[in-house]
Amino acid sequence: MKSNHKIIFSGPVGAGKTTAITSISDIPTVRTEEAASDETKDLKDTTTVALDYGAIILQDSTRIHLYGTPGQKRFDFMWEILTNGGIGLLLLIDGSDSNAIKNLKFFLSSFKNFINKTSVVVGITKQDVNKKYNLEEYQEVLNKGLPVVPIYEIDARSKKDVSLMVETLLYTLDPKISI
Amino acid sequence: MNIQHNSKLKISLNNLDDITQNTLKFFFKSNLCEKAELNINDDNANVLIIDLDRQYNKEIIPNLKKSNQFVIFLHNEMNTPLSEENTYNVTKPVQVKYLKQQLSFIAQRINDIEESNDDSGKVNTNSFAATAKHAQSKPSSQSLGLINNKSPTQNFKNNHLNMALKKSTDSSTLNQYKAHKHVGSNRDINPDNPEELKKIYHNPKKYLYHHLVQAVKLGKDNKTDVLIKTLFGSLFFDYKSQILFHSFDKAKMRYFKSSPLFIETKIVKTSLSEKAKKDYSIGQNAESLIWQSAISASKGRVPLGTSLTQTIEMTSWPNFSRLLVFRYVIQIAAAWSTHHMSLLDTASQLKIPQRYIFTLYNAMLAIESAKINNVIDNTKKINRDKKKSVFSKILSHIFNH
Repeated sequence: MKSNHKIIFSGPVGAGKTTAITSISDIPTVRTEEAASDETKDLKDTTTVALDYGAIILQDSTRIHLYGTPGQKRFDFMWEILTNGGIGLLLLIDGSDSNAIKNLKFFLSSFKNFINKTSVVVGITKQDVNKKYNLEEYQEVLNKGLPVVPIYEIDARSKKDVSLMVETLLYTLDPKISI
Repeated sequence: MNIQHNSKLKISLNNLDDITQNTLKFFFKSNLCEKAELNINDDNANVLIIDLDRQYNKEIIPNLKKSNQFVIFLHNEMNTPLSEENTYNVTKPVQVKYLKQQLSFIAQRINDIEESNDDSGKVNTNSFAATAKHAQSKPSSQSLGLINNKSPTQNFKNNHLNMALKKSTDSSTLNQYKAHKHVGSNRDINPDNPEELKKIYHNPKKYLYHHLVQAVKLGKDNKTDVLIKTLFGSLFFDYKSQILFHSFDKAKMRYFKSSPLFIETKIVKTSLSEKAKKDYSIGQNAESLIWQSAISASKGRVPLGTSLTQTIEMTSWPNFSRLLVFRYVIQIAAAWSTHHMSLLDTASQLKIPQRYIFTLYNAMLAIESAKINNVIDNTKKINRDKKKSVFSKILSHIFNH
């Protein structure tokens, strides 16, 4: 039986989790979106209410599952379930949100146990649209000795950028990977 | 040959102000509704219309568009238009005839590309292009994936991931690596041999990047603009935008970055008039230019006096998504981000030629994301992850696709 592995995408509403999964998925992304009703409504018309699912399918048919968590904090009970057995976390933060630093701290704290067991790469999206903080300000939140957390300004629509995040995640887990 | 008529140009309006957006909506509705389809922030559009005056960092703009997309920049006369490939400019206030003209050029180009790339016997004749068949189009130097329905992301060509993998590397790219474009051609040295040791050191003061670093530091410390006077002309650091401006063309700049010519360089605080600033027509994000210059100067070498055996302290992770990246960069940075290792130890543990490690260290030192720590601590070895097999497969997969 083929073993399965999963990479978790998380972050607040509107950070680009669904888009990022779509960028690198080899299958059409399964989205569980509903019309937004709460405070999310101010940010976008629909939002992920259960999870997003995509997959990278390797040559030997092994599936690397790509799971996107719902962004709303009230769904945090699902986060632990989704991360169980995950390879690592790709955390996306909406850089145009004035709460971006606060959100980064919140999600790092929420996934602390998972991150400690695995690894995390942070992607700041929409920096080109309406940048609220410089990358250095995000780095100040992260920098507390080793490990140094990778953080990039990314475009969630760009396969190149999302692939870079995956590459970085894997190398931080094992810098000796040879291909 | 199967010819499809009347395919519409897909236009996307990106982050425009309400007035401009509504004006353009009216324009398209009244003039071009049969020839163009207008949407807001449409990822799959052929053409993006972007307001260059709306807080866009010019370094980021090329990343807004996908490889098969065209861009029309709206800009005021004071703002320098961009001359990237597949970009067109329209001066504000927007005049319908000029916008229409640029759209005609683009439609014609798409049509030309479709015809030249048609390998399926199917030609999409764009109705907009048909009206512009006499329009003079810019020469195309890039094959776009518009006719074969490839997703834009399948067309990215300059991805370092692609370049990093031998299997997927075509001969020209492989030759590029063989030429050691970024890291030089130094062989691994024996640090106990003084003659070999000499080869891996350079004097930063002779290189452009060192002076750029000093200028940016002076600007940041004093919250002021800075002028860098060299024998070949001046560069200007704009403190507020963190952009280094100059007027050197690409060839000159490439030469300056790698040549040890900057021995009589002066760095002074300045407050140039708006008129004087116009002499510096080319701007680049300061960190990005310093990074590139440090790589070009290094070519597999480190600054004089750098310890090869003391451990490296990585202080922040470079923003590799917006910097020039060469082979092994992510792997080396990942090792430094998780382990205390020296330069020599990194090379031996990762089994990577020293020149790659030295070049990356030089660039990271220049942007202050790494430095030598004074503690000798080579005891920590990298342990392999038990999932290494699947990790290799995932990497191979993303490099190949």
